[in-house]
Amino acid sequence: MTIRINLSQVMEENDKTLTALADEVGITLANLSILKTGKAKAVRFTTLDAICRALNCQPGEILSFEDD
Amino acid sequence: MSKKPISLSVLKAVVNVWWWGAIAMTAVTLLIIAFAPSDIANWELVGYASEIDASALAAQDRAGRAVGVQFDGPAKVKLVFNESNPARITIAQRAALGLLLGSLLVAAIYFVKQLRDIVWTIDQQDPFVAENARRMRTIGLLILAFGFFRAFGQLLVSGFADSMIVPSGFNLNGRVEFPVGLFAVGISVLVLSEVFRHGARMREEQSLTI
Repeated sequence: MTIRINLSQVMEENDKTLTALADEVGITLANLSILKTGKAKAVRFTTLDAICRALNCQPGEILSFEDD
Repeated sequence: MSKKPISLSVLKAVVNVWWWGAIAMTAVTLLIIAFAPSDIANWELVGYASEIDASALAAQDRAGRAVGVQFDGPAKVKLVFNESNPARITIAQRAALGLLLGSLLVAAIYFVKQLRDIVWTIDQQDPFVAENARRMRTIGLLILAFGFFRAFGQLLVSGFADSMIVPSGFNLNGRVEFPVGLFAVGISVLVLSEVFRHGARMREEQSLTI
C-alpha cells in the first residue's frame, strides 16, 4: 500500500494512548487499532476530522504517500 | 443475541442427516463391494434403449380412431439376469467398481461438506465471507461435473449392456443425453457464487472502512 498511516507518531507527540483517542474520536478500540496498523481499506472524512481535532493536527501529518 | 429461526435449525438438521447418510452410504457401499460373494445369481443392468418396437402398443382417441404410439427419445430399460446366467466378479472388476463408486461417493461427501460449512457460517451469523463464495463455486462445478459424468456414464453403461445381450425389438446403441436441467442449475450456482464473491469483497471493504 502506498498510503502510510503515521498515527503512532502523532499520538506519541500528543502523548495520547489508543484508548483515550478511541474514546475521544468515538470509534472502537479495535477499529482504531486497524487504522493504526495500516490494515484499514478506507477512512471516512468524519473519522479523519475527529482524529485531527483530538490530536490537533492536519490530515497530512497522519497520512503520507510513498511511491513504491 | 437474537433467536435463530426455525428454518435454519431445519436446514442444519437436513444437511447433517445428508452428511452422515452420505458417509454411512459410502462405507456400506465399499464394504459390499469388498466382501460381496464373487458369484452373483441375480443381478441387473440398466441401459438406455432406442428404436423401440412399439407395434404392440395401441391407443385410440375419444372418437375411437387409432393413434400411433412411439417412444420419444431413449427409454431406461433394466436387464435382469437370473440363476441361468450368473455373473462372476473378478478382483480387478471389484477394484475398478470400488474406485469408480468410491470416487463418486467421495465427491458427493465433498459436495455435502460445502453445504454443511455454508450452513455453519450462517449459524455463526457470518455467512458473507469469501470462503462461502469459493464453496458455492465448488458446488456449481461439482454439479456440472456430475452432469457430464451422468451423460457419458449412461453412454458407457448402455454400451456395456449392449455388449452383453442381443436386443430384440429395441437397440442399446447408447446416446449422449446431456442433462440440461442440471447444467442450468450448475451454471446458476456459478453465477450466484460470483455475485457472492463480489458481495463478500464489498462487505470486507465496508468492515475495514474506519
